[in-house]
Amino acid sequence: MPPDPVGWAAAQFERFDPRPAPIAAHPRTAEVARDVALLSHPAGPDGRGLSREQRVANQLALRARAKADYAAGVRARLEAALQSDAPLVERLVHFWANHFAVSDRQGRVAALAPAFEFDVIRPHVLGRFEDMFLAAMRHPALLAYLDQAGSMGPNSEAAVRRNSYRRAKGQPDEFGPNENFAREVLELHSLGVDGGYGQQDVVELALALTGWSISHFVLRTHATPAEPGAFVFHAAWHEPGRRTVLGRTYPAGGLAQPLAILSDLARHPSTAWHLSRKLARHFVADEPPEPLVARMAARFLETRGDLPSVYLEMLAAPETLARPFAKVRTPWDWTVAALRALGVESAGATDWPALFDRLGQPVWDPGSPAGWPDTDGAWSGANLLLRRIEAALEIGRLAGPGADPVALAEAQFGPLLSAATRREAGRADSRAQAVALVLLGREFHRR
Amino acid sequence: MIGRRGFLRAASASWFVAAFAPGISFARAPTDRRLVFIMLRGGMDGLEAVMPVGDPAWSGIGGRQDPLPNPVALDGFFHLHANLARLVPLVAARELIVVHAVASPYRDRSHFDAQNVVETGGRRAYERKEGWLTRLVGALGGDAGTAVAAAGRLPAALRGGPPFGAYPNPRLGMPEADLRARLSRLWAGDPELAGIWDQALQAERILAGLRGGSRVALAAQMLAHPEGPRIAMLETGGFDTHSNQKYRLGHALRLLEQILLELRDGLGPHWKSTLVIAATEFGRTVALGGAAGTDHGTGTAALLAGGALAGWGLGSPVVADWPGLRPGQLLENRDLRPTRDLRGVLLAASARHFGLDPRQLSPVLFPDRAPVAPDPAFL
Repeated sequence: MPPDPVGWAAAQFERFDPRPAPIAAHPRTAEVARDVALLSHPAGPDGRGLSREQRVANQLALRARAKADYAAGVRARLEAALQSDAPLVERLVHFWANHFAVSDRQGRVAALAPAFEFDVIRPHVLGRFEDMFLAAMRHPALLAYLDQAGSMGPNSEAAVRRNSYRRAKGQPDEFGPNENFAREVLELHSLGVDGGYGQQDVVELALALTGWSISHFVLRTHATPAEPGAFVFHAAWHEPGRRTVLGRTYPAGGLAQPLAILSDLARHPSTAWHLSRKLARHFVADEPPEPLVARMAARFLETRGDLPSVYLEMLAAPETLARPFAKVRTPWDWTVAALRALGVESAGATDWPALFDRLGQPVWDPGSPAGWPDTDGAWSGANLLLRRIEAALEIGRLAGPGADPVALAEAQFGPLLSAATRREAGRADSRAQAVALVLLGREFHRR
Repeated sequence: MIGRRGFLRAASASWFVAAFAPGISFARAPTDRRLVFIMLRGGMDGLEAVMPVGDPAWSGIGGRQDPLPNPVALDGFFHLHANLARLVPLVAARELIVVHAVASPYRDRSHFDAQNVVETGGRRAYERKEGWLTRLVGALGGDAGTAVAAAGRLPAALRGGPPFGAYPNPRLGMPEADLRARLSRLWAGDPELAGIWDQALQAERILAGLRGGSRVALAAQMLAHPEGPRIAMLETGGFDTHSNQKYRLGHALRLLEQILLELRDGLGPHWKSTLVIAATEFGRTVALGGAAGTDHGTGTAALLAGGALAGWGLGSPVVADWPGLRPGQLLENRDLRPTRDLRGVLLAASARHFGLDPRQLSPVLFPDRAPVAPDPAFL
């Protein structure tokens, strides 16, 4: 850690650019969502229906588009991280993208995942949590990933109409509410699993969120005037009536109702604790000291969710300063740190999606909405180590002429450089091998 | 035979490299019998995997009849999903048993908490830090610290021992001798890195003699190896079918079917002394919902497999105290009501398989103020 961590961090906050060149070059959410919606809608852009050949062609086009957007997104993310002079803030962006995790590499969500990070997380990483949260809740990536787009209240006007035939026959509804999104919002994104909510709160929030959707993402929504792929609130799908969440009752009122509930969730003390603990676990230690978490949560509440205040509280903490190399680096962190140490700023020709997959951390594809785990145990293993050996050798070969690897290691780690790393790098049989050994040393393994 | 691979070359496109690729972990134990625990992540819909067509309320549940053509009748009451049909020879040989209307003690709806309850064998999530398999390894006289993960991350069921390593992916090459020596020196003073590296070197010696194949096939061969592990845990997913359940569950079940067959084939003569247990964290709602899918439920099905089962004298391919599917018989008006405790099944099956006394094993495997009773069906 630098001698004045608060000053160091504050300076980075000043320098951070939410839309540096690599990010600015990536298509924005509206454009990606629109194209994805048009390609994936089973009835076609005008709802008239598509022939089987057209549907198949659209599916192939969507796959190709998703693959391309995903790969371009990974490169953009990497280049932004390599070129940034606010690397701490880049890491905070990745932390929040993992907090609101989506997981896909080849479908609609894969196409939208980069835009989600670039358009929702980056602009708000140094702002208020509530703003990031509400922006995330309305982004097509998250809504598509968690099956929210078709959620319809059982007593809503649309459900009554569409299900009337089935109800008259005593058959179960074809359209109804979906609890998945509401549950993950409470469990993962805001209050946390111990945040004091129950199943009834999940149900109520799900009902409050009926109609909260994306235009043209599900059947029979072509008739809305909204731009395809845009966030849309279908009033006719919304469950009528009051909702009670966490003991507070929200009057019936269309879109205002779920917005009010989400705002309250973003400001809730359980949310403050949940987020603080996650930040501390990610940046400081697997078992973060409770007094630190408590101070961070208090800061969150007293500043109404001002994230930089919480970050500075964490960085100023004596508990944080006392422990260098407490956390094992994830494959992403390790790769970025390695490339930055070597002065690499461009993504070059490497197949980065495949590399991160091989290293065990495919970008935007953690496999669950809980995202990548934060505990060291998750990232230790011979499998990951072997892959890292190969990657280190390749990076060593890619690294051009430059500083002597031992000097490089000394510049990085100063007095913390171990005798073993210094000795083995010094005895390597080639510069590439020396670089690889530095990258594989215990200092690079942790942060 | 493993060899060096340049990492920039495309990975082989095995279907295991899909999103549902199983994580595989191992533990050693001083026994000649093998146990494989398969964690089905996501909450498997037991009602669709093994359909209670004999239940009078079944035909009234919208959307559930014959999701895919040609299910297989297991007995007069239950049908097996068509994508598990290749397991029928195992059923006929009494090497596959379905346990239905079973659940862990968990009664809420969070995946992560529910999985933790199943894997740690607690009554509540995060009550216990170590996994039930870790305790079983201990009960067998093994060292829980030798648990290793082939996918780099040790699942909760095998956690709790001292720092662990992992078996390398056998498709990856090991570095050549000169570099190995340098790496050994580089990491010599760091206990964590040195430990992981030792595991890799040791595993390579075992893997060098294997036939090859998919990751599950290799795992089975490792279990079969005289110096290899005896306990394995596989993780597979794709069961969280909130939408489009017919297609998604069909796919996930086909993967499960493949896993079981590859285990049998890979274990060879050791299949006869192997027990496989496949369990999921909870079931799903009885009724289908708005996106042709289901939400999180409670009672579900578990599977027992393995040549060892054939000697247990179980009369029927399905073990179930069926609670019924009429509205009044459901749990909270939405879920299949569980009539047996998954822990009782794990306890009885483990005890029977390894020749341990279930009453003595119970407090070791499932330390709890209220002792867990072994499931009588398997004693």
